[in-house]
Amino acid sequence: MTIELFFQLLPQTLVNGLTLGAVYALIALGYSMVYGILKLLNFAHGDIYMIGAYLGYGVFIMFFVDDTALIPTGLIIVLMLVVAMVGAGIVSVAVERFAYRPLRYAPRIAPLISALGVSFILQNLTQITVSPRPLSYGSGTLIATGNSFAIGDLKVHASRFLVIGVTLILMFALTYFVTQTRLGRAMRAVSMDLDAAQMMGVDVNQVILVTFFIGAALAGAGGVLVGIVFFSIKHTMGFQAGLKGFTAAVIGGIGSIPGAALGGLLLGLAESFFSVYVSITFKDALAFVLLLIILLIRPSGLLGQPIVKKV
Amino acid sequence: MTDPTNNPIPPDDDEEKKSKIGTDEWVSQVDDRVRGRSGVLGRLVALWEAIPESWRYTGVLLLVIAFPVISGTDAFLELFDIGDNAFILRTGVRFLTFAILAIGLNVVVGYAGLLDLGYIAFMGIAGYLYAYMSSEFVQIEGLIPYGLAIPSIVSIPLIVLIVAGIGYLIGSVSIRLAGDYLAIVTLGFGQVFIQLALTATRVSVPGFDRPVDLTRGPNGINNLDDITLFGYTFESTMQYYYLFLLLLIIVFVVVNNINRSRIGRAWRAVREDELAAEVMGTPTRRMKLLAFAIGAGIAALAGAVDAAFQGNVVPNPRYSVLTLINLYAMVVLGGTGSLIGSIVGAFIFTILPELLRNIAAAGVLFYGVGIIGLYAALRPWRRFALVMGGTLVGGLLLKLIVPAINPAWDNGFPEAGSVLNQIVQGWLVIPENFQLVGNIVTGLAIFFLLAAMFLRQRQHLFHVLLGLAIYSFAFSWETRLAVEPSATRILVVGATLVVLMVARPQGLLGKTEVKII
Repeated sequence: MTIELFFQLLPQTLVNGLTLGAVYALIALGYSMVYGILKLLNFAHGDIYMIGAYLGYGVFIMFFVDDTALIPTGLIIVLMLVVAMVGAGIVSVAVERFAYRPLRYAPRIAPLISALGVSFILQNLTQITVSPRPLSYGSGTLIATGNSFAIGDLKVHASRFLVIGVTLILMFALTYFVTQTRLGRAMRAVSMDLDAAQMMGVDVNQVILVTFFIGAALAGAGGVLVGIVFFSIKHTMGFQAGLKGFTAAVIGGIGSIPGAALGGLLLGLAESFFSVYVSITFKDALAFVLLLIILLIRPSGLLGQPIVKKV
Repeated sequence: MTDPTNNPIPPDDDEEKKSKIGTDEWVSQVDDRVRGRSGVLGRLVALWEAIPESWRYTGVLLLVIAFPVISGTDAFLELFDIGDNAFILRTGVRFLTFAILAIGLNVVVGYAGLLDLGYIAFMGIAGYLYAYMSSEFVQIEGLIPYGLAIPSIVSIPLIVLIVAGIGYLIGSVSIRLAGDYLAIVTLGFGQVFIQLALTATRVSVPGFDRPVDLTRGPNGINNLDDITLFGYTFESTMQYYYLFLLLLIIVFVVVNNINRSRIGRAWRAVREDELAAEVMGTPTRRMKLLAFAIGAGIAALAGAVDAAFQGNVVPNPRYSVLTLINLYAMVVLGGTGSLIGSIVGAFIFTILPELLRNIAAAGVLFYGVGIIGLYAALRPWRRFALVMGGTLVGGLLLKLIVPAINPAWDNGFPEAGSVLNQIVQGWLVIPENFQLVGNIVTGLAIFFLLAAMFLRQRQHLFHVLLGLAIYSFAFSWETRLAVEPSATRILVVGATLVVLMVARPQGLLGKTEVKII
């Protein structure tokens, strides 16, 4: 590869990486928050993201009759995001109530298997009730194909800005919630020490429900954004995305909220650069090689707290 | 100021909020609760336990040995209405393969307590090694014109050793990561393996002019040789059935003996409390690595023989995370740390999905599990009778009223598989466009169930919601789920997983964990 080509591809790769990274970060946040509080690897989280994408699709077809929008497309996008976030949150809270809460004091591996069962249920229920085929958000229907901004020579499609913008807004909202509100403080307390927080009068069940809701809402938004950027959604899309989000969470240090955001961005950028400059076939393996390297250098992730063994 | 006697501390009515584990009463009751099984199940268990242990094993073993013959008889084939028993035998081989794999995983997860999510890759590596050693895939002009063709008696032990060595290496890199991080790194290892298997088709190797195809990508490598031991070639499914059975017995006996030796005790000590074990002088690192290597070796044995049995290695889905999930489900369902449990788990998870292919059987299971679950959840039984009776009568009333208002609302005919389906459909009001309605009702069913769970305190509302949930679940099953067996199958498996885990977190044959804090 020549130097000119390298620089020619650089901006586009950067934008793609940021878009991808934003979505990974949204998924990773939910993983990380739940892990921080319950030490539970919520393997159904990827499927919650898928549910978000499908709920967004539901709103999309409701307001798009014969390719014409009944209300302004901007409003539709906002509605899609809101419905997907609330819906995914409710599903996730229900999952917590049924599949995880009874197992809170069980051996560590039991909720893991329960989570896998939930993942099967969500995927196949979607397949049966909606469609086994990929569905399309329609290319250029929500945001016209030509609707792009020029930065120097580079033309960046508006949907990329939407993804990055929405992600930034959600992250600021989350940071505000966690650092400034009473419930956010309770959340941090529970993640530090669940038993101690309970003794201090924190309603642990409420905190856990809120955590699941927020994590799922972020993932649901991620699902809609992916649908808008890449057009196509499928009932099995949660699995791979879940693995990626999980990897991102671990790279950043699982349990750490800024870590999850950082991990997501890093992973997205790394994948984008790797597939342009090195090899697209090994793209998916890269995530895990990166993970291995980072974990071997920093065993608790980039921003994670080192594990302290207490006797 | 209020009188303190009139204002006592409110009783803590939310029982499940509190962890009962660790309280003195709970610990002292453990023996009673283990012994105190009553009812039909209790009597069956007592009867089973009255048989001497050696007889039990011999009996089950004889049944498994005789199974290929029994399933080949006319009476058996007629009973299940099938032409021949080839499919049943293949399922049997699948069960035995998974039983061996589950035992290996149990060594890592159950005994040593290491969450190894890359386990399936060891099976995959063994499969590919067998393919390289026993097919025409590896060809170097002049040097190896027709493939390696190493005899099985050499190749299988060699593969087991190599893969156990790889397991040792992977373990020694990742074992210093604690708990879940180990899980993640091993998961990464498994993912890298399958990605390489799928994509390493054009790899430049020093000494070759052209890029070399190492795996043939998603199509995999075909035409593997059968296993030949001492001049005897295993060809038919039945021969492999007995080969796998023999291997299962060997693996079982070996692992069982290791578990009862110093090593087994050391594993358990590491699992229960690593720090304490280390203080007492257990070489924890070496013990963990040993578990890793033994697990990998067992996976390699099963993987290599499985590759020979299938005659090919295809990466997806055989070596994918999905298979790994199945294996974990088997081990955890059977009870981590219990060898018999792993075999039982493998049995359930290979046989259950096959049974569910038959939609009539799936229906019986669906309604059966539902009714038993309700019966267990609603105590005393009068509440159960009330809800069931109420739902039945309510359904019948609807069946009378709705067609009287508008006949078009009750003229749909979904395919009725069995007598049970016909009866249930006779009770339901099914409109013409039942597929669309079925989709909505499926959502409603889940909503009703959730609402019922959240409003458990308000008894009457709870009962009504539960009745609505039962009705809509039956409707959803008849109109949607029974129509699409392939997805429903996995749906039912997933639901079974969740229900079983919630009901028995330690697995079917696992020991209750007693934590004294």
